Amino acid sequence: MTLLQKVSGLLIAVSLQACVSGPKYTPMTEETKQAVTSARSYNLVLQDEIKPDVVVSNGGAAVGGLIGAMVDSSVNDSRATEARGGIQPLYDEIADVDYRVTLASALNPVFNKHFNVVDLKDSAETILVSDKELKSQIKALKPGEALFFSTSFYQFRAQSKMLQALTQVFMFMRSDKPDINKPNFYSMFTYQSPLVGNGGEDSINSWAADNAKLFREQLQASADEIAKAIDYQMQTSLNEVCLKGGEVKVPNALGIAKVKGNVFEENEAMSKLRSTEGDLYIVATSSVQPAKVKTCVNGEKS
Amino acid sequence: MKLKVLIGALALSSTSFIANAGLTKMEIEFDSLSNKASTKINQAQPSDCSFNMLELSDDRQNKETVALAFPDSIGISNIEEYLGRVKETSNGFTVDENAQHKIDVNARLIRMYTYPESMNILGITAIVADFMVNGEVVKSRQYRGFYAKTNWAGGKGEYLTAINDSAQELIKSYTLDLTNICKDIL
Repeated sequence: MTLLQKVSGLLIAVSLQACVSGPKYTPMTEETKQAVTSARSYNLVLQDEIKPDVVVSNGGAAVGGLIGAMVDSSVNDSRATEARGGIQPLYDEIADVDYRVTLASALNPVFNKHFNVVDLKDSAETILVSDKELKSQIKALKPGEALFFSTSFYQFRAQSKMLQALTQVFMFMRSDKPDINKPNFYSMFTYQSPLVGNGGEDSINSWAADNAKLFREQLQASADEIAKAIDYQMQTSLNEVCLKGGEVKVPNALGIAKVKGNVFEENEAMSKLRSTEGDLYIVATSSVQPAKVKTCVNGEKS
Repeated sequence: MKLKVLIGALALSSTSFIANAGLTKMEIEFDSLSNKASTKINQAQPSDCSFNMLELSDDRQNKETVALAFPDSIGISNIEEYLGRVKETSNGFTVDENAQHKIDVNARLIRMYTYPESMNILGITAIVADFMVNGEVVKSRQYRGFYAKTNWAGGKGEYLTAINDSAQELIKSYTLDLTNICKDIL
């Protein structure tokens, strides 16, 4: 799977990104930081608004072939239609919400704090960049120049009880033979809101109430918390405590992925977990289940 | 259609180093509504209110793209012309010279996009309509058209079809609500 396919998300399912092959967490090093004198950026958000929670049918796979595909298409058509109808009360309240602007205003200061980024924009981009274009741009970088490429998605999950946002950040330095699966820095960041309502219509009504106050707050929180997490990952010397091993459920279009890792920060409401692969998850503390994780035994890193 | 790789232009760009990369602009044609839909809409129109959409402007946050037909992003090159057809078609159902009450409508397009989900392409078109009496806005309402179609080959034309189908659903959503609006306003 190419990087482009991985980050496009909307094609395969945003949610598969937690388990597809592709770049692995690549920490920022002091050597890399020292080598970068300036940077360019491309902050991509493909979607125009929040998508409803739809669990995609794969039941037709049992039938197989075109008929199976048609069964799935029909089931998914009705599920999508139902979900669209259900989310309308929220859509009525959020015509003015622009996540691209919200995200850019949260991320830009973080990128600028660590690097001299020369072309930050007030709103995220809308146009996908192909692997070929990305490679061309990496080749075209000047010595000392780096390229930040980030891509973000957000969607309701858990029967619309949860707002889940995901951002991937890649940093590439100039190379004559770019390998976009081996960036100089890469990390994935996932934010899960606390659960709202009892699911379905009840949750949507809660998100929509009072001019979508809760939705606006959580969308902003997702951008702010992901920005903080990026800031954290950009540090080159982390003395990270490990409070306990934990497991979080990461819903996606095809089901639920279980991610294990070390909880390194928590309060009553929210916890931060570093997965065993190195990526960061900011989740409701109540959604973290105890888990045995090799790298964090009894609260101590091993 | 091959990717538009504008490397030369990109190197010169001061605002975005990957400006317009991978963007294909396409014309979209408006298809008339089916006879069945037209009959249903005509039968549902209020007898005492006439609704004249004066304007349907493009007020989208994202005016660049409506679809991602992997790996190309798709934009619409004739959006004003297309919105003109949507307005004209709506007014064809809702303007009634004999109606006692004349209501003007200023509408703006706020969303127009598609995305693939499993075996389907989903199309969404949304407007906000301001209903005006004697030049004063007396009611505003958001209308949406949503359409899910089977994704046969992920072709660019399929995404435009999904847009067009959603625009037709939007017209139904809007025109079929006007009896309620008429009652609310009067």
